[in-house]
Amino acid sequence: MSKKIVIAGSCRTPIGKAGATRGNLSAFSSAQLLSACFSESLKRSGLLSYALSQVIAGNVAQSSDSPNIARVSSLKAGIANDVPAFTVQRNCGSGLQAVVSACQMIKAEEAEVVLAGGTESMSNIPFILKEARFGCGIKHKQLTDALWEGLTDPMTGEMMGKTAENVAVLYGISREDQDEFAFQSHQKAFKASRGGKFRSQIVSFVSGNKTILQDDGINPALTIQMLSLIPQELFFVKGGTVHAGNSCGISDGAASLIVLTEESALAQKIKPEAEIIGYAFVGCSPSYMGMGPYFAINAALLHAGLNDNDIDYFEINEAFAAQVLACRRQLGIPSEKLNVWGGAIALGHPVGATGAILITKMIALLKDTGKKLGVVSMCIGGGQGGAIIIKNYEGGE
Amino acid sequence: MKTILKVGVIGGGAMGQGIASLVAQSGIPVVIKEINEELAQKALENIFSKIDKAAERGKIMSDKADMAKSLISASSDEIFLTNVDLVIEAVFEDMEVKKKVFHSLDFVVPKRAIFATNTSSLSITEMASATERPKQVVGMHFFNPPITMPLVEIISGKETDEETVETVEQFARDLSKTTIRVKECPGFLVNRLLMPYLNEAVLLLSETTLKPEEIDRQAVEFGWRMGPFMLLDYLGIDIAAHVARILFQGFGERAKPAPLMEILANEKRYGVKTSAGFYVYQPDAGFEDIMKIVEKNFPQRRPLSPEEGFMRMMRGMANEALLCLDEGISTAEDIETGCRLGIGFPFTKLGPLHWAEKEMGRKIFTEEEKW
Repeated sequence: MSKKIVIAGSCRTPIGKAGATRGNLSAFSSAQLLSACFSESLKRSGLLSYALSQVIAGNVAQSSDSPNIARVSSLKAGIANDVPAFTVQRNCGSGLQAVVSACQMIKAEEAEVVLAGGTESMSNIPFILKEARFGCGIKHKQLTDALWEGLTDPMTGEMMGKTAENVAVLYGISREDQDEFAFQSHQKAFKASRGGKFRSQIVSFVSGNKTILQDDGINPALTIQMLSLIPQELFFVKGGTVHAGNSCGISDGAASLIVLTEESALAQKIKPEAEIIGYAFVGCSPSYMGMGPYFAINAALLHAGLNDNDIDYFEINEAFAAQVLACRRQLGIPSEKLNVWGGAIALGHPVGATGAILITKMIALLKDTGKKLGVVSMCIGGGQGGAIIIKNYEGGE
Repeated sequence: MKTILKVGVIGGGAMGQGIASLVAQSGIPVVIKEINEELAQKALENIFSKIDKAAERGKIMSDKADMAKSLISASSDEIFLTNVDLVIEAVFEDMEVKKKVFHSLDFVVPKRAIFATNTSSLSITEMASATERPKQVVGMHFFNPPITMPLVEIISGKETDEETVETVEQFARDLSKTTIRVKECPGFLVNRLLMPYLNEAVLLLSETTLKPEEIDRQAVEFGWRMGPFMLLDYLGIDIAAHVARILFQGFGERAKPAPLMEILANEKRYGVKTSAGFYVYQPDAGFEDIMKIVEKNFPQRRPLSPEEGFMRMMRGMANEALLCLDEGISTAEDIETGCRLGIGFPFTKLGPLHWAEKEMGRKIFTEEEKW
């Protein structure tokens, strides 16, 4: 890359569990979550909103009451009318796509400063009544759960959990290993959360009397024994190994960050947090979509001209323990370099926001440890993988 | 700042139970220490049944309830406190008892751990003197019930260091509470500001012909959720009288408790919990009307309008708030927040300092008028 492209003002909301009474954030819409991040990103970076050339947001279940959610959130956040905005959808990679699109616009010299992010309120995904447009006549019609349908592959008809089971079978990932990984995810997230590692990333929300600062999903009380006792109905495949306890939760959350050239950051006295040095999206079999990160990380390393020994930390989105373990084994990543602050199994996976959330998390991790290079990657429903490589702007070892 | 991975709560009474439940529901392991196994199990059962009820009513989801329950344990054995990072003491409100608790814990609890006390009025500095870690002793005043009340007063004693205050402040925030910082003084901030207001209300009854309903109505019209007499009945007149005595000891003449409060406390008219206080809650149980008691004890009273009477109470609170500001007990912002969230000062009026500035002008608070 000729121009250095940097990130500033990264932040995220707490990640809430989806559900009317379960989650702390279920009462907020995707646009509310994102607009809070947008304002915070501008505040943190010290950038004035009229300096923006574009706003891009990733969102999977795009709601009919806020079409082009990037624009709605941007206006809600008080960003000037004349800053254009668009929304991207690449399933679980949507948040990453927004950041990559920002990079591409800047590289093409069509933008200088872009606000990018992702958002998802899975709590508020509606049930829909198809075929009702021109009247139902005197007939029963079936309600479709848009959330459930969204988690089913449209080509193969497999649930996402089924594709993880496919991976577990193909790579021989045992139930015990998956449960152990899930347990560790909760423990790592609990320690990081109590140790204040997430605080600098989080935009607080006020709901009634409560100020919400905490991620809902972390369960320090979870034990491997509890996971081994999970009832059969919570398995994706009868007699299989992938179940609700070793998969990511259904969640609400958003994140955003500012992507700009190093030149314009320095000119506007904005402190860059990280530099983007490579990225890639790849396609793979929809039935083995969980292996996406394996292909994408290799492609991104190639794009950046690095090899995997150069990388200090890997973050592979924990859609399912099975799929992360298979990718880890194929890539030969040592476990102390992978998802060190826990992952989506504990924290949750608000699909459209995850890409931006994980980049925010990686930036904080690099800053906290003083290390240099981090890779963020995720599998993408429909058979894709996405990865981005970022470098600590402070240098690092 | 220190990392709090596990919490110990000393005392499984109402406050101890509430605090432990709150901590566990926020996803942090907690152990309750009671004096014997029986009380420990009873406390645990109580908490579990409350959590189950909350889950039944749909206030929390069953998975969160299960998590909270598996994060709480209770025992009489101090061995379970050997790996905690924070101890919150919620035993009987008595200095000697509390000092004894802290002294014995000092040997068991790791050196890094912080001692917090949930006292509402006792001296933090004196309690700290019973330990060998006075810098790590701090007041964390939760309000009753801890699960729903949004405020925690963080009180620093003379020796408390900044790291300790910052750590418990962040811990309280992790419990979704709003915090205010208070420097140690009798009654701390919230009780110190509430008492002159309530005390003046009771004085009004014995000095003027005003009735409780008239004053309560005036307060509600101002924006308070309930009037001072209703509030006293809910708080418990015995408890209010106890706090008033502490303030009297600390501040002398200007905080002299209203005699009527003692009279009611002596008659065991504590308020809602005894079915009678300033109001009677059980009509046919033979309780005397409050005005008859007033008539009997204070025959000489002069007339006053409810507006003026209410103004006297509000001035008492505002005056105390200005004193706290002068003495550096809290920042102006924390005083206002404490009054809104701790004692229900009307939100739209922001707090006693704003009220004093806007409605009265500072001139009423000249030296001659301070009481």
